[in-house]
Order: sequence, then structure tokens, then C-alpha cells
Amino acid sequence: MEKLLELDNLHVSFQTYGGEVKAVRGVSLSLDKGESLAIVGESGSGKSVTSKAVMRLLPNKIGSIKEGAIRFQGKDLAKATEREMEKIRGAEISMIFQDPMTSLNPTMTIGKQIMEGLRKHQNMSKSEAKERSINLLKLVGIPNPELRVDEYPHQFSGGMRQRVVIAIALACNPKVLIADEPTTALDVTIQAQILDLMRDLQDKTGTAIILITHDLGVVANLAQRVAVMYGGMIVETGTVDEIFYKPKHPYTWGLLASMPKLNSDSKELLAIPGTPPDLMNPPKGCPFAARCPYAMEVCLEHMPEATNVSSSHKAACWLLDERAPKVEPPEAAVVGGAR
Amino acid sequence: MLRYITKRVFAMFLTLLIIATITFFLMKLLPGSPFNNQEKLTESQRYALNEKYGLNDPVPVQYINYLGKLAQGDLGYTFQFDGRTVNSMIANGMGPSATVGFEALVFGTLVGLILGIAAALKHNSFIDYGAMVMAVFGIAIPSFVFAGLLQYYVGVKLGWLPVAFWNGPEYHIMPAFSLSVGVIATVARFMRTEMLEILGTDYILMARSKGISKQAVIIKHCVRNSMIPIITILGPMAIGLITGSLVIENIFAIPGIGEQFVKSINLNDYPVIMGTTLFYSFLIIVIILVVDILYGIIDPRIRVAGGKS
Amino acid sequence: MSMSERKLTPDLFRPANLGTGKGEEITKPSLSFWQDAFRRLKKNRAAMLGLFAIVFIIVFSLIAPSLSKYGMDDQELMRANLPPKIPGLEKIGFLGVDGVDIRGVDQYEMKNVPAEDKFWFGTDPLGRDQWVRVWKGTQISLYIAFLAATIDLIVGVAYGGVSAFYGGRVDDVMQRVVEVLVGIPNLVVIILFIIILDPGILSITLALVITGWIGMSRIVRAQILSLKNREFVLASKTLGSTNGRLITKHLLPNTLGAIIVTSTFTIPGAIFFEAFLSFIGLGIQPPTASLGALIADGFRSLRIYPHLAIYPASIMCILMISFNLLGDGLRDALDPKMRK
Ligand SMILES: Nc1ncnc2c1ncn2[C@@H]1O[C@H](COP(=O)(O)OP(=O)(O)OP(=O)(O)O)[C@@H](O)[C@H]1O
Ligand code: SF4
Ligand SMILES: [Mg+2]
Repeated sequence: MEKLLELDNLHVSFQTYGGEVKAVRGVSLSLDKGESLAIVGESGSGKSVTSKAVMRLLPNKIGSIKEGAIRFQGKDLAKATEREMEKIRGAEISMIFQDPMTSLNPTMTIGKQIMEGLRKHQNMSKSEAKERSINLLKLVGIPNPELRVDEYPHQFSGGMRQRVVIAIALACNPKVLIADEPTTALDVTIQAQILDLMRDLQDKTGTAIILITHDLGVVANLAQRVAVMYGGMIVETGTVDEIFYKPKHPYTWGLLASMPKLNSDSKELLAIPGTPPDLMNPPKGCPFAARCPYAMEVCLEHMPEATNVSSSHKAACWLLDERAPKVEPPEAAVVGGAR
Repeated sequence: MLRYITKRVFAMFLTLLIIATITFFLMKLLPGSPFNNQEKLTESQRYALNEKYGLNDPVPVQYINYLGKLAQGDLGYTFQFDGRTVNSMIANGMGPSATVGFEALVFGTLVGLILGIAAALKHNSFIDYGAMVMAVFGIAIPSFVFAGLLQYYVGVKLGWLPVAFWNGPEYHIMPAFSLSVGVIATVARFMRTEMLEILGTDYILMARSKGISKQAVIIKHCVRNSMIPIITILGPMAIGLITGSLVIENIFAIPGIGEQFVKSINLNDYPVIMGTTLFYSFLIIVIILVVDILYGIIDPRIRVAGGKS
Repeated sequence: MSMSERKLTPDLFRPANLGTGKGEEITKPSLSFWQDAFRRLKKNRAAMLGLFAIVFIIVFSLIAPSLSKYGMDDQELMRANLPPKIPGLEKIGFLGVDGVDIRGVDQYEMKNVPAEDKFWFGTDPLGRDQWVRVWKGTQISLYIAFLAATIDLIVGVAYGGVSAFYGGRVDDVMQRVVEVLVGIPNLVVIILFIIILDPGILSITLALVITGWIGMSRIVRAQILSLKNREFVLASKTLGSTNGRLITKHLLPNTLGAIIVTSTFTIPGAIFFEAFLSFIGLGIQPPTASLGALIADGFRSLRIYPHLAIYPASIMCILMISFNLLGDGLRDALDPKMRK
């Protein structure tokens, strides 16, 4: 089946005063129609950079796609012109940002902000666009949309604003919605509401979702497949079940171990010791080697390649090599006791 | 909001009262009566003059009378010309002063906005550096030094524009331009910083992710939002313009308030000095008050923008 | 996998000896705040240029007057209004330093000035050597500016520090006073003050200080208020530090950056106001002259004797620009948050 969106060996770099920051180093991913894929990984692993690269919204001049392709419905976005991208952004691929407090223009009514995309992509008249904006607000669960459409962002709460942002993103029925940590900035109860809303909307509209997060709990709730990112690379991908119940990469083990467990009485979080690699001078071998408790000499010198565990499950770790010692995931990384 | 305005207006009158009091007593501290040094006056003439201007009364009485007249907006009589009031002198000078000030403000703001926007959009380019070098010069070099040099090179050496006086539109160009240099520089710098900050916000990225073209995003979201906080520097800018006008009117011999003020300083014409001082204080305080209130009205929407407090 | 497999020997699959903190090894040695700030300042070419120009002008204003055999007030009407004449540069026409005035007359010849007398910046209407007067004037302008900045600093830091440190009622009362003072335009205060006191170096400095310290006090207060509740200060407090120790070890060093930056901007402000006063007739009185006074005098005869204004004006512009560049650089280096 034809993939909706496919990243092929994507490399993204930033030119900074200190030198070249290789933020994304060979990411390959794919997304089917209507599917939801989660990208997880700790801060600085390159999740946001990857998503901005797809939208071609990397900071001008300093950020650039060095290598690789972004195929969307057969077209390579990495080579698309700004004109072509303007037609795709908002209409075919939309994006939601982390902080709803800052992602709305404070001096423009939210109605105008929703209408902007509609008028651009669907050639609607002002009144049509307004009508549709009100409907969209209703769809995302804003009470009294007829009144609130003319209000300014500061008159909305954080959760409400994120709903507005979702309404903006979905205004033109895009095929892909990239949500970059859509709930991180919100209270826990609001988080659940927003996730429910997103799942609900996905059922209704069939939009494929790329959900970026460092919260594995969110992943279990919303995604079908998971990609685990570390140091600008994808270290493991698989279905939610495969990642949660049969993880193969030590970094994934670490992530799972650091996840608070509902059924355990220990409240303590197991953080992964150490810091992520310096992307200015990335390590030659496995990016996780400096922090990996199972690191072998080969890991320091040679990059592990993605190995198929099953048709849908891949991991890049030397432990999967037959010459490596057999290692069991630590107790803490086992989810729900099943294996 | 209304409470805030009431409080501020009250504070304004308090400040004015303090200034009036200080001005009055400082003037009293000055040795002798203004007529004492006029040799040709006889003792009785001097007494009559002092009587006429109420200078023979006890100081507290003079003070009360002074405040009473002030409350009616009466600033007293000048010593320079017989029977002319300070009010009429200020009213006469108002036209040219306000004209030059206004021209400088409008021209300076416009050019400053354009420079600032261009610098931000071409961040770290030749245009950016050029604009910022110009801004440092504009902020650093006093407008009156600039005015003098301009007068010499453009007026005297090249002869392109009239060197001085106030006889028509072409006489406005050099003074207004000299005054506007500081405004250009301040606005350009401010606008650039503001634009750069807003260009980096999520809502600009959000707008772009809707598919809006870069130019449209810049005009509709960025420039608009950057311009609102400019209100905050209007106060200091107005003060700068007033300060500059004192000297610039002199250099270009413009018959404005500033020129009269400097003349009366040199002639020890105390009523005019006091009156003009109060007038300037009033002007500056009112401008700052209006700017604060204006910003307070727009503020709730701004406060969210860059997290500025 | 096949490519790399061949090169890999089984012994590579032994646990690696990572040692402790392999990751940390690569990170740069952390510089202290001041070293780091200084490094950033040194990288800022405009600021360094400004610093260099300031030092140069200060040193030059001190030694230059002694290069002439005339004093600041040596009048000689026989050699009045001579245009500048600089030996060695006379031949280069466009510099205008060949002793020829704007009408094309060699004034040195006309006035029979002895050949060895060459006035580098020309002479004024009283025949005084402009060179000496300009550099002496620079000295005086700088003196007033530095004095004003120093007093501002002392008063402002003390006032703002006390206000913030004691807080509560003390702060309330002190801030009410400041609020009233801030409301009074400093332009007005300065002019009134000078009219009363008669212009002189000290009265001008005082007039500048009388409103100037408020800005400094507000910045110091804001800084200390925000520091007061930070962990390290609280920690030191709970550990029983005395107030004196708290102030000298924690609060002042962390406020120093903002203080330095503010002072750097006070100086050009003072130079500006001093010149401004000269222009409206309230400046330093003759025979003493500051840069501002020289420029103001020079502008009066700008059409005939441009050299009288051009030299002091240039020095003043260079000084003002340099202090602004240095101030911008210091601000970026010491306190990036203060930008704008
Ligand atoms: N504009 C930029 N200039 C230089 N480096 C950048 C820039 N943006 C991102 N980076 C670098 O790229 C790397 C990846 O950043 P990215 O924002 O994608 O992380 P992330 O996975 O989204 O983290 P988080 O969970 O904190 O959002 C970081 O190391 C960061 O330093
Ligand atoms: S490749 Fe080596 S270092 Fe990297 S995760 Fe696997 S075992 Fe750890
Ligand atoms: Mg991110």
C-alpha cells in the first residue's frame, strides 16, 4: 500500500556559531492514511526538528535539510518550493505546537485566526469562513462559539486555547496532523480531555496523526505505532504492543522504566542517568553508548544498524547481533508483567 | 481602569503643585528683585513696578496669589515687553514649536519603523548592520550637534536649504530632520528587537503552518504586533524632542517656545522661565500619562505576547 | 549488516570500559561568570573599538594640552581666528589644515604669525590655542560625566539597596518618594537648579545627579528584590549569614553587572546634558570651557570659522558613540536579559 508520508534517511543540521549541530541524523519513518504514530524520546532528541523539517519550517538560513527525502503522496517535500509548501501547509499537513499560551496571536481574534487558513486554501468568503469557524469551535467543544469567535486569546484558558489551536489545524481537513507535545503545557485533567478530543476527531475525520511526546502514557492512549528517538536517530520502531511488551533497545527499556506505573506502589521515577550526546560532535558509534549499561566495545566504534525484529518492529542495537551476549530487559522496564 | 486614571490624574496635579512650589521658592531665593539691576529706574519707579507685580507683598501671600493665578492658567507677565503675558508668549511660540516637533515625530517614526523592520527581516545582513550602526549614531550624537553640522554643510556650504528662519515649508526640513534623528534611531532599534522577538514566537510558526505566505505573516502578525509596544517609548521620545527643540529652535532661529525660553534664561526674565518650565512640566507629565493610559487599555492583549511584564 | 560484519571480531562484543563520566570529559571547562562575560565582551568588536577610543581620548586629553606652549587662557588678539595648521599634513588639501581660511586667504601669512607657531586646531576669536582648549574641554566634560556617574552610583546603589533589602514599610516610603521625584521631568529640574546655583563644574554635576540617581536606584532595587528570594540567598540566610555578609557576598556581586551597564550609559547622558546646558546659556562659564561650551561658541561663528566647532564636535561625537557602543557591549556580555 502506498504510504501517505515517508521520511527517508532525513538529515537536518543547524549552522551555529559553535559549529554545525546535527540535530537529525538519518531518520526514516512512514505513516499510513488515518494512522497514528507516536514519536517519543527525551528532550533534545530531535523530535521537533524532524516535524518542523516535514513542514519545511526550519529557521531560515541556519537550519537546513542536508540529506534525505520527505515523500508526501509521492512528492518530495524536501525539494518543494516555498510556493508549493504554502499550498500543502494547513491544507494537507497541519501542526499543533506545545504551548497553547504562545501559539495564538494575542492581538487577533480567534475567529480571524481560524479563518486565515480557510480563506487561503478554500477560497471561502468572509461569512462562509466565519460560519465554518463557529462550527469548528463547536466541534472542538467550545461553548457559545458564536460569541467566543470574536474574542481574543487572552480571554481563553490554556485548555480552551489548545482546543482552538486544534480547530485551526483541522480547519481544512488535512491528511496529516503533526502534534508536537500538544498536552505537555496543560494540567493533567485537561491533558486527558485534549487527548480524548484528538482521538475523537481522528475517528471523525480520518486524519493521520504524528504525535510527539516524551510521555509514554500518552502514547498508549492514542497511538498505533511508536518510534523511539535518541540523539537525532530512530533507535526503535514498532507497534504500541511491541514497544511496550517486547522492547529490544536499552534506551526504550530506560524510557519504560522511567514511566510511572499505575499498578506499582513505588512512586519513584527511574531517570536514565547521564546526558544526551553532544550533537555538535556526535559519537561515531551508538549514540546511547555513553549511557548504556550494556555498552560493548563495538558500540563505541560502530553505528548499530536497524535490525528487523518482526515485519513491523525494528531496533538499532548491537545486542540484537548474534555474537552479543544475551541480555534480558530489566525488571523495571517490564510493562504489566506480561512478556 | 477608571480608578487607575483618577489616581494618576491626582498624582499629576500633585507633581505639578510640587514643581510650581519649587519653582516659586527657587525664584524667590534669587538675590533681589528683577528690577534692582536696572540702573535707570528711580527708587519710586522701582517701588511702583514692584507694587504692580506684587513683589512687595510678604512671600507667603505672593505664593498663594501665584498658585491662585496658576489654577486659572495665568502665568503672569514677562519683564521683556511691557504688559505682555507669558501665556501670550507661549501661545505665540506654540505654532512653530508644535509644527517642527510633530513633523520630526511623524517623519522619525516612519523612517525608524521602516529601518527597524528591514533590519529584522534581513537579520545579520548588511542592511541589519548598516541600520544598527546608524541607530547607534543617531542615539549617541546630540540632535543639536547634528543640527549645527547639517546647517553648516547643507545650508552654508552646499546652499541647498535655507540656513535659518521660518518662512515656508523649505525652512522646516533641516530642523525637523535634525530633531527626528533621535526618533529614527530609537524607533528603529526598538522595532528591530521587537520584530526579532516576535519572529521567533510560536504564533508566527503557527501562522506559517496554516500556509499563509511569509510576507502576509510578516505584515499581518509580526509588524502589527511589534508596533503596539512602540507606545511605551513615545513618552521618553517626546521628552527628547522637547529637550532638542530648546536648542534646535535657537540654532535655526525658529520663533518657538524653546527659542523664547533660552532667550529669557539669558535675560533673567524669571516669569517666562517659570511659566515655560511649568508649561514643559505639564506637557511632559500629560504625555506620559496619556501614553500609560493608552498602553493600559491595549495591555491585556499584549501581556500575553512575549511574556513581558 | 553484511558489510560491517566482516570487520567486526567477536572480542568487540565484550562490555566496554566506559569509566566514569565519559560524557562529561568532552564538555568545555566551565568559566566563571566574569571570565565568560569578559570573553564575550572581547569578542564584540564594536564595544572594543569604543573602549579603545575612550581610553585613547582620556589619555590624550591629559597629555595633549602640554604639547602646546600656550595655556588654556593665553590670549593674543594678534593671532585671533587662525585656521588650523598641522605641520606635515599641510600639503593635503582636502583636510583643510593648511592655515588657509574659507575665503582662501592664508591667515598665518596675513597676520604675520611666526613660522614656528602652528596651531593644530587653529585659534579662537581671542587668539587662544584651540588645541589646548579642546583637550582641556574634553577633560572637563569627562570629569563632570565621571563625577556625576560616580555620585549617581553611590547614591543610587545605597538608596535602591536599602529600599530593597529592608523591604516592607521602609521600601514603601522610599518608593513613594521616588515616585514623586520621577514624575518631575529632569530637564526642568536641571535647568531650575542651574539658574539658582550659577553654572560651574560642581553645580552642573549636582544638577545632573539630583535626578540621575533615581534610574540607578530603581535598577538596583529591582535586581536585589529578585535576588532576595533566590535559593542561594535564602540558603545563606538560613545558615546564619549576617546582613553585611549577605550584601557583600551575594547581593552586590550579582547586581554588579546591571550597575556597570547603567553607569556606562550614565556617562554619555551626562556629557549630553552638560553640552545641552552650554547651548542654552547655562553651561560652564569662560574662561573655562567644556566640549559643549566650545561647540556652542563655535556654532555662533560656524560660517566663517568652522574649525572652532568641528573639532570639539567630532571629539564629542566619538566619545558619545564610543560610550554607547561600550555600554551595548557590556549589556550583551553581562546581562543578556537587559537587552532593549
Ligand atoms: N534553531 C536551532 N539552532 C540550533 N540548534 C537547534 C535549533 N533548534 C533545535 N536545535 C538543536 O536540535 C536538537 C534537537 O532539538 P529538538 O527541538 O528537536 O528536540 P526535541 O526532541 O523536540 O526536544 P523537546 O522534547 O525538548 O522538545 C537540540 O539539541 C537542539 O539543540
Ligand atoms: S548498541 Fe550498544 S550501546 Fe547502543 S544501545 Fe545497544 S548495547 Fe547499548
Ligand atoms: Mg520539541
